[in-house]
Amino acid sequence: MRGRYFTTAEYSPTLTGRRRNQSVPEASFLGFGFPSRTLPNSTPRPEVVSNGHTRRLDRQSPGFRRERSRRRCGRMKLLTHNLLTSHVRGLRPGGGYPLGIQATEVKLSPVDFNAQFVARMVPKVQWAALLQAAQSLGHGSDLPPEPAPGYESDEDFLRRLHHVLLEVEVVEGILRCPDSGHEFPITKGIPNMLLAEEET
Amino acid sequence: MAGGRYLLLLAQEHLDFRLAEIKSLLSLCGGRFSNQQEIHVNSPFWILDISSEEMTRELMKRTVCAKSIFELWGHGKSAEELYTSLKNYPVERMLPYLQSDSTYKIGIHTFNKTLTQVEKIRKIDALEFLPFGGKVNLKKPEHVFWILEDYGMDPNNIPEDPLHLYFGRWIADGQRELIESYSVKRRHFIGNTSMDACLSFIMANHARVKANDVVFDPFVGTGGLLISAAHFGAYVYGTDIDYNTIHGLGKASRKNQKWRGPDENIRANLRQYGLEKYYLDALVSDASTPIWRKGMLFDAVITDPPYGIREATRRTGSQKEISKSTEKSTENHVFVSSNYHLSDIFFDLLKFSAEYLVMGGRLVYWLPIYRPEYTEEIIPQHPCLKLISNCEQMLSSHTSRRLLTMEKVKEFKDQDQYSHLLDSQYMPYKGHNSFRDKYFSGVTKRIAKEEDDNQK
Repeated sequence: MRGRYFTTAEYSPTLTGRRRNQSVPEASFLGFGFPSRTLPNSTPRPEVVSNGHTRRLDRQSPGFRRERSRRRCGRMKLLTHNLLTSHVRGLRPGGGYPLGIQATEVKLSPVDFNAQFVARMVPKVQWAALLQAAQSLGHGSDLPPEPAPGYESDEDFLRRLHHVLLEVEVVEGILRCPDSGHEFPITKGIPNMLLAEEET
Repeated sequence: MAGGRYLLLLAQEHLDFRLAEIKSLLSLCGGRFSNQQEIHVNSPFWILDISSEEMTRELMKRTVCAKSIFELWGHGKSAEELYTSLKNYPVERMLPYLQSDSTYKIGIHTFNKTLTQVEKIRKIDALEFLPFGGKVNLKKPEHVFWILEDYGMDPNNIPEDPLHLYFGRWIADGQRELIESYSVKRRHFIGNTSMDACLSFIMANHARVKANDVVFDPFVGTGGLLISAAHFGAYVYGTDIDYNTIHGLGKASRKNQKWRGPDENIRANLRQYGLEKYYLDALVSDASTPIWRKGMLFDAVITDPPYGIREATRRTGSQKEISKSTEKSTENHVFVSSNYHLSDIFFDLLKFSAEYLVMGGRLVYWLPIYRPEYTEEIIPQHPCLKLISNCEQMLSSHTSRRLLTMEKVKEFKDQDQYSHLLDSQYMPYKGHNSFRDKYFSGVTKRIAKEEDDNQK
């Protein structure tokens, strides 16, 4: 009976338990960054609710890894989306772009503003594709139909673009090739661009 | 102040990489590598002509190979020669640093010999003829001067008197402390083949990474190379075929740790060093397929491709017989990886770089070498890429790896146009695990010999 040695607080779902699908505030244990080597040990082990009890998962159990992986998130930025293309074999030249986004989870995370970098990205971005992607996520209304001349010194514009390019992030969703319909999944913010055997 | 002659004090580590690093950094700072006298590549003292003191400071903000830089006031093969040379140094260039209201300190640095305190003081006192006007302050001096003595390279035969003496005013230190602060030992997320911190900074310097660049690593692994690029202010992309590595799953590479902990990923690595704002994305992708749209241009490609020894070489493939054994199922995505010949890795890497680098952008990567077979001809070439430097790091008596730096010098046109050039190349890398087989050839021969002996 391991449970005997646990305090009641540890069993109570309201205090420490986290249900599945409940998003975990990242800052609670990651926001400070240091000292990172102590992180794996100091992070509470994931808990699940089963039969009305909150149970801490054993490190070896498969549920442990599933729960743990929910807590760490990369996220795909719209800048990345703008640069990616489908590479399914047999596409017409220039086809497979832009990928459609179907996002089931989108997060906003602040990134330090760097006007020079954003200005450098403007010529690299395909504007129409960016607008389309941003609008499909509900964040495109701030952007002009195309960058105005002299945008390098327009801080207001660069800040809005910065927000769309770097701060709007897709956590879970699908990238769909517009020509072949192939779906590239985004899991935990990481797009998987691998193709299955028959499509290469 | 106008330029002049400077003395660079280098660290005696990664000797083969130093010249290429200093050359790359000088060209990044807008200068040019020039020296009036022949420099000894393996010596820790180099005399360089640099066009401004500002440039030397820029250089030292980046270098991990050099320890310090000094404005050279005099040098010679004996103490007398040094004093004569110091007397010939224009006084008007000395005086700004010898004012009576300033404070100063004189230090002494010896290479390959340790001096006693008495000897040091004697050598410092011998410089009395210089018009020092300020006060001595050992704790917080405004100006620091150094006597540097070179007792040669042979620790078993240390001469009584130094072979070469230098005197100069200290300007700046290099970035050697980064090696400690970015050490892999304390990094959050590492893999089996994470790059040593010093070498990854050297790679970023060879690639001339600068602030606001976009840097890409197609074999990113745990992202060690991206950390050094981000340290210099570049924004980073990485891809890897290994779903588990990118997601930070699976077994840990660290001793005494069975599984990778939560939040072990590239983004957390950058966060550890306060560089998260430079993280763009990491993707699961195959380096042999084009996932980037045409016209996307990276400023640098820095990578350490798998050699097939400690990390397997693979890509998505379609060989049915292989697929059964290597099929991987991770959540809902199934992919198949097949063998990826080393020759194809380098072919794809060069083609990718030729196509996706900006003009003047650099590709920096490691090429494993089986030394008995090495000739310059086996270095992969591409008509759009010019080889800038080629530095060797020994791995064992018969293998090494070479850090190759290439620069894009020509617009990429049609890839097929150049395919004929590549037929005769890469022969040593043909076939899967070609390098692996050679790497272990010494071992297999020894085992075979032992078996022979046992049968006798």
